[in-house]
Amino acid sequence: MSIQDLPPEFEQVLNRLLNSRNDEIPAADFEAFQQILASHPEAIQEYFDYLDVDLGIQSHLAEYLQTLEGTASGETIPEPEVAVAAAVGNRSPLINYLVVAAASLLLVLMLEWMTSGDFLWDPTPEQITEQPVPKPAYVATLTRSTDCVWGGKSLPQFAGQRLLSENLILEQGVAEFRFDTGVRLIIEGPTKIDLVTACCAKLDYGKMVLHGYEPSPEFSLITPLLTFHDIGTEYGAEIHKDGEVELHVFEGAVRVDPNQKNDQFAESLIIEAGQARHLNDKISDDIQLQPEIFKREVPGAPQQFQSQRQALQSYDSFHPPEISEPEQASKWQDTGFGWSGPWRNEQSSSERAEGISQPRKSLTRTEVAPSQLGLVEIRKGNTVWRTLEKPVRMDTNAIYYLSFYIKKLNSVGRAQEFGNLSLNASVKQEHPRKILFGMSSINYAILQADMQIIETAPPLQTGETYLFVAKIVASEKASDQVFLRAFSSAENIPDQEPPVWTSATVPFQASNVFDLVRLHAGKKGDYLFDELRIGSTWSSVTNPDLPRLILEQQK
Amino acid sequence: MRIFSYIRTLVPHSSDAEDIYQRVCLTLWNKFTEFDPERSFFSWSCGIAFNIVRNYNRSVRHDRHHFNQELIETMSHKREQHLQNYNLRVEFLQDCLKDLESRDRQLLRSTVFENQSVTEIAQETDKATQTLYNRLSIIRRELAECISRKLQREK
Repeated sequence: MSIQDLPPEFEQVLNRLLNSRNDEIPAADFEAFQQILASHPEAIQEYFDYLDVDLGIQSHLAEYLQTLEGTASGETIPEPEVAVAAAVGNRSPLINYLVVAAASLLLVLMLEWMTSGDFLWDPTPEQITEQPVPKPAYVATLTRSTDCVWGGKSLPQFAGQRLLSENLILEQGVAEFRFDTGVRLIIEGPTKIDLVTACCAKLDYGKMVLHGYEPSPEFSLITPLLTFHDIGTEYGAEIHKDGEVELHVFEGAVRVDPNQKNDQFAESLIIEAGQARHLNDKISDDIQLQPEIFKREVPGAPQQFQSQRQALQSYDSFHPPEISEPEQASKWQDTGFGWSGPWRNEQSSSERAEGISQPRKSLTRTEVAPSQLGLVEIRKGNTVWRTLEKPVRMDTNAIYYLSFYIKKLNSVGRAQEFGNLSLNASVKQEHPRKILFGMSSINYAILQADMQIIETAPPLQTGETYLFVAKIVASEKASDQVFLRAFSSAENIPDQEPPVWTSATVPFQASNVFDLVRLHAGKKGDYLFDELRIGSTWSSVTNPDLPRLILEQQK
Repeated sequence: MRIFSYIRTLVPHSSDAEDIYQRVCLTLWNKFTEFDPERSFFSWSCGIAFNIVRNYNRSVRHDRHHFNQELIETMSHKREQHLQNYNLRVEFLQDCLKDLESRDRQLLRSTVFENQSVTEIAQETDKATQTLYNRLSIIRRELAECISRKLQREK
């Protein structure tokens, strides 16, 4: 539909609205005007355009607005008498009130901010396009989602996705966010939420359950009329579009403050576990506690085998198809799936790699199928390379998970005892970058990405098997980030991505395409590697049964 | 101007928009310590203005026109985006005004700039009020289209 196709009465009322100083428009006409605006995006566009024409013509308006700003802030500024008089004759008492005085430097700054929305020292919006714009920060992770239909401009694409400070509209389904402070928020559509910071969110309307996190600072949830602060809490709230709230506290307590204090609601209200209230900014009525009306966790949707299969992109159990004599010489280099060619000694050669096979052993904590048995030993400066069928691309919006078992043998605490797995690019670069996970010579877990090298204490143990699980957040336009968790054999592997990581990089910018995996041991290092996986979900790289099921299907 | 334009969009009457603008300025002043410099000041201000508009509508006289909450929400998001290039559109408007016929410029000046009522102008010029509204409508549409063409060329 074009603007010309809008009902003719729309433009008539619009022009009368722009030109009338009093309520000259009949209520029915105004109601019809509203309905056209609500149902025709073209009508809204026309409304905006006409408003801009009128506001743009009123060249004196900026001066007049500055007068209003001076009044509002209690400060006084030079008075644009003529302009104001021409603008609104009924404002003379206001004008008389104003006294000409010098505005403070602070006021001048505020005026600039208020009139242009920009800082004095900032360029105008048109100029900003030529300046580097700081990248917004991540504040949360979309950890789970079920049957979600997203509206608005920002559309989360997959579980595990890192989220910037942004507005999200969940039209249907249930989604869980974990803020970077550890607080979990489960929302049920239709809900509109603004992720403000890692410890603050705005919820315009909808239904949610918040799970506080003990080490986290107080989390503020701002609704149209009220702000909730969690005190070691699990609580549910339904926020209606008019701002009224039904609050049900399951654990801990919630402190409630009105966004604008008033006579009826001047002090904070503490609502304890087991209580439920109907609230707005003036009233607080007890209601029945009903935990059952909230989705307190995202319903688990068992993934189909086929989708799990697709999520696991590359896998290698270092399982030689035949055991040779001696066993160490068994052909381990060309097994698994998701690879182009075998492991090799050099990045660009075709010579097969020289690692030592242990075909009857496995580092896995659960029993594996015979087709998964085997591991590889890399030692004394040895390096092996393999090419991925699907590279890890940092120049797109994607989440990658990577896991492998690693065990360090025979350490005496010398230099050159490190061992690691890294992702590399085959394209020659002036300043090559890689993402690396491993153990340092003195056994610290080590994570390297971009220019960051993060070693984490306490040191890992020689002779102990660890499962390293990494998460690589790649973003086309926002920042990238890498996380590493080293699980000891005493720890359970969670079904879902955990809130706690062994180490994490700060966000960085990268656009590399990593198509090579490298295993490497220092000149005095001796390491076992097993069960290498790269996938797009947490479960694809941690589910102990998935590789076996896939291998059985391939038979 | 951008913040006022944002408020004016959500409020049918200019005088109400001016009252709200004053309240918004006061709130921005009081809450300025809470502003995160890493965020857009304009977006932050719009968020505050949105809440004040909503509260204002709750207290407004029943016989006074105001948009319903759903429409305000819809328009607020669109308008915030729309105002990103406001300064550029105002520049283009100045160019487009030069192309208008002088009598059209005079009509706009009287109604918009000098705030004269259309009924008064109709009496003075011996024309039907509806004729003048129709003419104003055509002028506004021509100006809006002219700005739109210039924006397209700019892209």
